[in-house]
Amino acid sequence: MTEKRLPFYKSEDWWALLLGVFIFILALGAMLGFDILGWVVTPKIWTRLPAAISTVTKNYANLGGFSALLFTYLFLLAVTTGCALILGARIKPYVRGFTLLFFLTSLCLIAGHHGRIAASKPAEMNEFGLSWSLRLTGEAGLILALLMGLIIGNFFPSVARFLGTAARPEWFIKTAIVLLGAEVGVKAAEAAGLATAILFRGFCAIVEAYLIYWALVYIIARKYFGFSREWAAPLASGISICGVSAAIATGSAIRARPVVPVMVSSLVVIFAVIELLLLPFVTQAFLYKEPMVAAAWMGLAVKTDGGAIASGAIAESLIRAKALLAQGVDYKEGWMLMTTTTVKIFIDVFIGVWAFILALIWCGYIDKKPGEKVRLAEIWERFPKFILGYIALFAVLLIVCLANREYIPRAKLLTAETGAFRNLFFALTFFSIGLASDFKRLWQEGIGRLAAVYVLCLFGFIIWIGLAISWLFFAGVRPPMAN
Amino acid sequence: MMAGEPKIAEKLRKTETETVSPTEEPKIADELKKMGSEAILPIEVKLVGWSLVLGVVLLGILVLLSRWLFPNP
Repeated sequence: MTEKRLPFYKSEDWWALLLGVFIFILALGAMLGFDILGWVVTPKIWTRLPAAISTVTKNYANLGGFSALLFTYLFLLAVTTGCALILGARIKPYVRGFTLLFFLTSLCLIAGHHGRIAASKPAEMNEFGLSWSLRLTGEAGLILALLMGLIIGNFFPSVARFLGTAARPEWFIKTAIVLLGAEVGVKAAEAAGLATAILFRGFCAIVEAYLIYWALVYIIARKYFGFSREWAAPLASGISICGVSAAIATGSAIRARPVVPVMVSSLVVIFAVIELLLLPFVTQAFLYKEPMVAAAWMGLAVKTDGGAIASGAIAESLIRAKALLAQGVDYKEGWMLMTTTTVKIFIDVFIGVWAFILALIWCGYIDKKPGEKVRLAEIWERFPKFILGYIALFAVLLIVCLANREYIPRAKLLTAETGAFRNLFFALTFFSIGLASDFKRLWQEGIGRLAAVYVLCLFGFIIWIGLAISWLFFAGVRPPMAN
Repeated sequence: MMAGEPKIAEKLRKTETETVSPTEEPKIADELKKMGSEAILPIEVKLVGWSLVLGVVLLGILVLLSRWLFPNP
């Protein structure tokens, strides 16, 4: 276990953490009485284009929506280019790629907020004089971003390559998760009992997922599909735990050749997109009465960070709209997403521990080499560092708001600003996931056997066991009401 | 194709030629052919068995614990 590791400043995890914390520090101004980031753009439900976007706080309302969009672009371009350069990107391709990526993504967000698509509440329908709407809420913009990414990624390879340097779904979603920590901290302070229950139940669900999922996928791959240990272990981690990062960590732990986790990862990304396009709509149809079950299920079933959080966001918007329509129940926004994120974060935290256990078994029993030992530091090295940012922001706001509940309204001003950035990073993630999902790989010679294990395990039992576990731990748990 | 697509493609031709040709990438078919058959070792059976047993036992304990600590309203 002495492979060469990249220095910390070459890790997307650390830059996601630093970027998230940087934005949080700037947003702290809103809580302390001097609004620094109020000019950030935020999309609104609209029927007339000039009203489609605005600044996130009224302090900068005079700026206008399109200036806000431009300032947000310049800010994000500056901060992400700095990080990307250190990560090894070339400046010109990154700047060109990010510019197109940002404006195409913004276009999708704006289009997704059109009243005919997004208006979901009677008050919104009345406000815009609409007789009908698809009632998808503003999250439809994220679906549009994914679809546009998929179209470009699969039909316009040159444009996809042009955007490729800037399209970094893992970095974007990790930054979004760090920022989400602030929002979850305030929500947890508002309903501490429910938040603690979600954290505990999320932890339980993950213990189950690791122990049951991994073992079943591994034995099926080995016994029924004849895969070698080198292929079966990363495949089991990729399908059952957390997609790309788990496949890579496992591959490294058992000393598989690098090509193995890379090939597994390419499948993981494709199937995560298929799940992302299907499962949220399944939850809307069948689980709108059990919103937290649906949310936990997205965290357990969808196998990449971006895909899972994205599915949680879409499932939340679809279920809230359906619950309002069918039951007249208006659930508070953010609690389902918090549940999906909690489940996914616990999964990420345990990757290092699981890789360590596998390394111990492979070193000690399977690839026995005299004198070779597994270092405990491996757990830390494989720990996803961006989660520290999430925990820090969560803890700071939880402690501050619990210490004095009068701070909660001011903390909400702060999270409105971090939330606007988080939403932009979500949208950039959706677009980038679509862009990176090359479905032609499914037709590549020889992939059939690999894909067959994936399809059998994922749709045969993983999503169903995930649903059963989510049901056991989250059935009957409801988000607070909006009013 | 979009209207701007040929222009962008033309502009990027140089960049594209710098990338690794697909034929140089390892093919899954070739990699899978290299894979020999391996008998399942007792330690693998133990790993899978213990995982499943522990998973099922913990499932019962954790469900009870979560319902005891955080009963639904």
